[in-house]
Amino acid sequence: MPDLHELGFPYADVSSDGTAALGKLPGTGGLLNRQTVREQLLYEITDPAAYLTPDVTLDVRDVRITDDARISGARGTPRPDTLKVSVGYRAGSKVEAEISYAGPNAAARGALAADIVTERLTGVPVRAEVLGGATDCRLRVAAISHDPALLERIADEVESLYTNGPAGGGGFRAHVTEVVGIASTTIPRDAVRPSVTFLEVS
Amino acid sequence: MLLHELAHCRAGDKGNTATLSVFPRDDADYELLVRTVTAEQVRAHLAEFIAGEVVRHELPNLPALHFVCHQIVDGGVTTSLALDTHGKSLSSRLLAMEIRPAGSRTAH
Repeated sequence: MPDLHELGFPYADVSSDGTAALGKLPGTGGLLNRQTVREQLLYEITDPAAYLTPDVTLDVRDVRITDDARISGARGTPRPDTLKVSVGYRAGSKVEAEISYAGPNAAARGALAADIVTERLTGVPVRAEVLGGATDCRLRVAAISHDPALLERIADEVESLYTNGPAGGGGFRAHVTEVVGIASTTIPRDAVRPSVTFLEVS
Repeated sequence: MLLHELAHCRAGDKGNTATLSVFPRDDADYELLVRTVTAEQVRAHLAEFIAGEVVRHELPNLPALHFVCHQIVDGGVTTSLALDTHGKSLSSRLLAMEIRPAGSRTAH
């Protein structure tokens, strides 16, 4: 794969006969070939016979890709009467707290640390997992809540492993980020009035 | 042999549904993949991550096997507690599946 440090995203010149020619700007890295094009073609398609887009219902089952990244055989049926809507909602905040163990028995000490934290947080829904290899691993504890005090307590429990946990815990980090949940639904197309606003920032 | 030796794969996500597209490195191995990589095997290999049904679509013109995996454990992307909230790494996890093909054209 050439020049990934200067990657250029591809574009498609799409024709109404169901063909498309893929290209990208000269001098950019990356590669357009059958492998990369077909990986992108099926990306996030849950029904290859009927992929809903705002403009067309796409059927990719007869699509073929040539070695020079040309596509043919795409078929379309009329666009859906409804449009997909992703509704964002405030889902609270997520805490992620981590601490490392290394050397002999590192994974066992990580597992013990996970047991200690989950025992002390009994009744609190947290995800505790030991990631990495047998001799260099990291306990990761994550939770989502609307309660800032609870999120802080979870981080404190992991930090406390420095002096109240298995030997040799190091590199504690914790951060809290707001979570916007996504709920997907559909609305009638005629309920939407598209408009475009350009904002310029100098 | 690992599936990785015969195929490449990409994962996509829609909420807590994951898509896994499997492509033969050599088109001649497509029929072998059809016989070898079933929806049941994908679900069993990724049982830690997939709670629901796995549906396989056969796309011989690309060629590709496209797996739609329902009810990803701790899925949902933005509200997931997993480190890989999107499940992007499921593609590589699937390529780590051991397969026992008969009649592979790829030399070993």
